[in-house]
Amino acid sequence: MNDSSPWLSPLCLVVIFFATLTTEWTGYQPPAILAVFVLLVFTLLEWKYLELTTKVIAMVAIGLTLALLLLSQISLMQLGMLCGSVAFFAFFLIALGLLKEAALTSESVNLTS
Amino acid sequence: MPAISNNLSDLKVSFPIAIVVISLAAVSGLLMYMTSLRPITAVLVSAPIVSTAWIFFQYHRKRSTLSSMELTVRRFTQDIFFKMPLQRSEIVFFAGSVLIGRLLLTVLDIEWFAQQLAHLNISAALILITSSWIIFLAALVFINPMISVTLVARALSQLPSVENMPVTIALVMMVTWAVVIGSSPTTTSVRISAKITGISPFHMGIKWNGLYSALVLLALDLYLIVML
Repeated sequence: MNDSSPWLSPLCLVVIFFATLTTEWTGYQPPAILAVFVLLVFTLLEWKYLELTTKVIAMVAIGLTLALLLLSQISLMQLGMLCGSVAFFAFFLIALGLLKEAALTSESVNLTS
Repeated sequence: MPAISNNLSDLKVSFPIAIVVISLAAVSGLLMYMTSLRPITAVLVSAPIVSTAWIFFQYHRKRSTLSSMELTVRRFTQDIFFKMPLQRSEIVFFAGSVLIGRLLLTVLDIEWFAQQLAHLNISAALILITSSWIIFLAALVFINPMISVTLVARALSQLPSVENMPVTIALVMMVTWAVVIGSSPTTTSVRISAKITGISPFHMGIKWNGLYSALVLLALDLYLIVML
């Protein structure tokens, strides 16, 4: 976790969660773009704690995006449309993470292993 | 480790878990009925709601309602909030894989690729078997199935020899994906399971599940050869 601001990374995930939820609920795309931007900030904040394979995937994803934008193979509009899918999968893991946290202190879960 | 019991009444210990599962289904159904949310989003929205209720009732067994509510709020603000980034690698990995897959789908000329394959005059069974193994092997060299399945399924749906069998394509993709998410060290499910179990994703995916996964794919191949 980021030592200098321990609340910043969790706050990023909370913003991603609610921004994606807004897009899913309303179909309005800008919150999904905000979610992906915040995900990028989260990635930078947590960079030194990420596993090597995750760093490779992140670099390939960012590099590919920049290369395709610079070569005009995709437009910013298309990229904005892709943000919905990217944000959704981050939202997916955050939501499941909360369920896992609740399970960790459940007596039933502990008794049934 | 808990002792193994043959007494059916001991199953009552798992009632709270059953209640959680039923609550998830019920809240999701309610959200789907009352809002315009997609089913998968409704399930994901219901997860935090059910989690909150679950934590509340864990406290409520031994404390008053007010005290339980205070402890639930404290748990979220002082514990869970700060633990959320522990999934950092899974979140970034998953989101990165989706972005790569979507970008490739946008820019690659899948139709051209399908046309080239059509020129080779390969049988439908062989095309499907090859596709399945390509996805499996690609996953072992860090190409997430989310990327490979999306690309291969799109290409297959445009091939003249298999385009009229969508159910078979779906079956091959589903079985292959199911095999890959249990065996590839690059998939989120294996990574999360490995983290919980305290072993490496390679150990979990390849050493524990590798042989079973390869056998399932071979069974799928056999089925395709016999049926097509």
